[in-house]
Amino acid sequence: MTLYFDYNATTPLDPRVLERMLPTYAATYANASSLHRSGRNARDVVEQARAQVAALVGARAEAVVFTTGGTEADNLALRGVMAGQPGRKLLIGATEHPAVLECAEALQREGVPMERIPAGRDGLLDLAWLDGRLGGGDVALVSVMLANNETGVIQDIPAIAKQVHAAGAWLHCDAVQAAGKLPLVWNDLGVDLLSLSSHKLYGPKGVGALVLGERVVLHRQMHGGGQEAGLRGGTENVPAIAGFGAAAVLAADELATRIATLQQLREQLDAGLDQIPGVTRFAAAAPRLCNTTQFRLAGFDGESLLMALDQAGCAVSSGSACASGKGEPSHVLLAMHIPPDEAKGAIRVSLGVGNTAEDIETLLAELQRLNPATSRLMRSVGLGA
Amino acid sequence: METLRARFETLRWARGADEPITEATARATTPASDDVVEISLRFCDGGIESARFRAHGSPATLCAADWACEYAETGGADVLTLCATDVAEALHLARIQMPAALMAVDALQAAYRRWQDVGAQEHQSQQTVSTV
Amino acid sequence: MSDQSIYLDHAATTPIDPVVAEQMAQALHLANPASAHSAGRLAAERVEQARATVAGHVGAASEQLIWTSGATEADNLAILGGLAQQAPAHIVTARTEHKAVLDPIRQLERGGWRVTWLKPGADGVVAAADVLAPVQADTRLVSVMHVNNETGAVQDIAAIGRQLADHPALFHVDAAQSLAWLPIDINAMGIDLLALSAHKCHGPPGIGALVMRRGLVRLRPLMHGGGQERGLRPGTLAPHQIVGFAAAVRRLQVCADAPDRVRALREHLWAGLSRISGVIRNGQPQSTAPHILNATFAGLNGESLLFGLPGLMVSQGSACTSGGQESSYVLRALGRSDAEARASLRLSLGRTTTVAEIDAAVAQISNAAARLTALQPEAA
Repeated sequence: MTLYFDYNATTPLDPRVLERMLPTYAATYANASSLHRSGRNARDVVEQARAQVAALVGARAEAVVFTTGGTEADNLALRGVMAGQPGRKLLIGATEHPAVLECAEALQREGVPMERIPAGRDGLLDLAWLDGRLGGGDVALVSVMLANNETGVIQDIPAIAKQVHAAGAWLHCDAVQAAGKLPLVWNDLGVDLLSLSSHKLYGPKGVGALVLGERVVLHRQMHGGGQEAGLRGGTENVPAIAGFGAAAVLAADELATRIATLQQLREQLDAGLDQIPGVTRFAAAAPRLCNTTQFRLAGFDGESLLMALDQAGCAVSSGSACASGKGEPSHVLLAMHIPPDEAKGAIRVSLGVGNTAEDIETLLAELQRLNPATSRLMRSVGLGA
Repeated sequence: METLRARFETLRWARGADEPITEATARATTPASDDVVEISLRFCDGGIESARFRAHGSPATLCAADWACEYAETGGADVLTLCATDVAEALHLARIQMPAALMAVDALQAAYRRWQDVGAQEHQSQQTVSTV
Repeated sequence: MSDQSIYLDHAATTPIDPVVAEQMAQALHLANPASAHSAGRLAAERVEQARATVAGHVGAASEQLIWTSGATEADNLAILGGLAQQAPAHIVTARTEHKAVLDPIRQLERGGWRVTWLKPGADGVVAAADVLAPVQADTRLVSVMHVNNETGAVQDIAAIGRQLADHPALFHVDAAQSLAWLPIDINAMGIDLLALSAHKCHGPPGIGALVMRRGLVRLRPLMHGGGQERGLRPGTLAPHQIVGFAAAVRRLQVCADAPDRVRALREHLWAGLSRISGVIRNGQPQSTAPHILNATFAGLNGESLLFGLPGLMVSQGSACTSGGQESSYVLRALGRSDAEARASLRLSLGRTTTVAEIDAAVAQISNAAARLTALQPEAA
């Protein structure tokens, strides 16, 4: 029996979401763009889900464009905005998810002026630097994630939105990790574009959304068929969209209890980690998501600790799942001025609704067992193997 | 939309195969499409006794013609004051379906005037007779 | 969907096969295949098994296949990704292609590319010789769909592919509509880029694939981030959808008699409809895929005909354009007038369609057509 501590990579499908999805697989099988009755039924399912996803972030239903996930939403936001603003600048946080980072780098290779907003050791972006760059008046779009997928660090999006708007630019926010773990209110955030993903909040994989402010002009990136108001061609994935809607409703309804539970578990984890010799927690001082802790254990690189924990029945991550297997230090930690050899030791524990206090104790015990420092200590007093 | 669908299912004022065309019959067309509305009126005691239509075209065209006939036959009001917007409102027609409402009103009013013209001639001839 | 309705819109999308749904339900719990832990590795293993199944079905090896969200994305990736970073040159395609092909090509045309838009014959087929005739030294892409989504017309892909073998142009084929009905072999047909979709063959929506000729490397991704699918198509893979696609492909292999059975049913349907006065069949039976019958009901209004068939799920063209007001560009390219194109129905059968459904559909269409005819004013 494996204990799962990798909810930021993906969450298991909520059985209640599955219940909503199954009938759409069985019955409402028509193409949502078809005009006949079963096509209209499929369209109703899509529109209901659109309203549900919009409600999760306090936006208008018309503002929601369904995509295949967070990556496509991020790419559509960056490419879709920059295509209409030739010559103007794109600024992104240095700690962004690869979906934003690599898209921005690709745009840069295509001639778009792009710069990274530097981060401090705590993972928070340098807003004074941002103010200086915005002063030039040539920035079209700023992209800053709400909560980081590796460290869990939460950026002050409302403050950044004010800065960005004062300079006449738009703000895109990747809220893939934040949704379902933080209250999101569109008007309070003040963003112009917001990316969401279903499978990070107990919904199915293969669906996400880009939420658009009323004044945003977006150039479509996927051509053909005219679906999603022409912004995203392709036959709608009705069951996945229905599942996303159901997951959004549950995330909104249960937000307070989820946050309280996860916060408590994470505090237990953090307190336990701080008792283990050789453990350093990253971004410990910054405001963080209720479920995420990133740390390293002296004497281990992240990959080997991950494998050792996996063998012991604990599934964790060494960074983001997207970057796993590459053996390179986390770009997020490097951007936070963590030395590469320390960054290589990073382990991310991300908790979810399936975790219990006993799970945390088991994980902490396994870390103690694997820890060369404590093992030596235990051996010296004749306790361990 | 459902109003249109429900009306389309019955189209009670369609002129049946055995019902002959009357003298007070008029057709309306639209440059927007090849749609046609034809409305036939029958009178009794100076009022409309029955209104029947034939039409070729979109569901909106067929339903607008049907609605106009129902209005003429059962409404008791002056058909000459009927506006296309009344039809459009009653059937929840979209802006792009306005030609359907216009055709229905045009055909109905043209048929009514045709009867008025015929009636006026008859009246005049009677008058002529009486003055002799 | 109500019990009485008859679904003859399988070219728009197909019901998920219960066997497929069952396998998907079992795969819904799988982790992120990009995760390094054992749960992630298990998910990745299932994804790779599915990749071998789907790739193998079209004569390709696993490493030639990239998962996408469907044929639209596969077409976009093939065309925009295949021609990216090249100076505008020349493209050959047909006017009857799917919008997922037409739209990206029009986008390239606006960027300075020259496009030869081929017109099919009255049967909807573009002769292989006509595809090859306009190919020039600087032609970079030839895009021809295997089976047309509105008429069902089958193109001779192998003949085109053979003759393009020595030409550097990419040969792209949208096979979304043919996967369920005709054999496809990417090597034998000389295809460079093949777009597939699961939901047209009783698999789930939201998953498709781009299959590439062995060794083809000059594709630029449309999206960036995460590095999945060798960087060509990033984003967390959805294992349940991928497992569903492979299950649907295995079901095609099990139900190998379906094409012949459905072709016979389709001819039974035409036998019934051909008694309606003014009806014209669009396309020739011998050059049409088994599942599609496209017919023009001359003299009737298409919208009213469809309105009179509330229990029959059919399309007035392709679902992808039905939201709009324009009549079928595919039928107009075949020489139908605007009004005729609007008065056309696409009836598309599936492997679960029954004789009783066909007979009921014929009765409903005949009645609806007779009613509209009776409503028409006598000729002026």
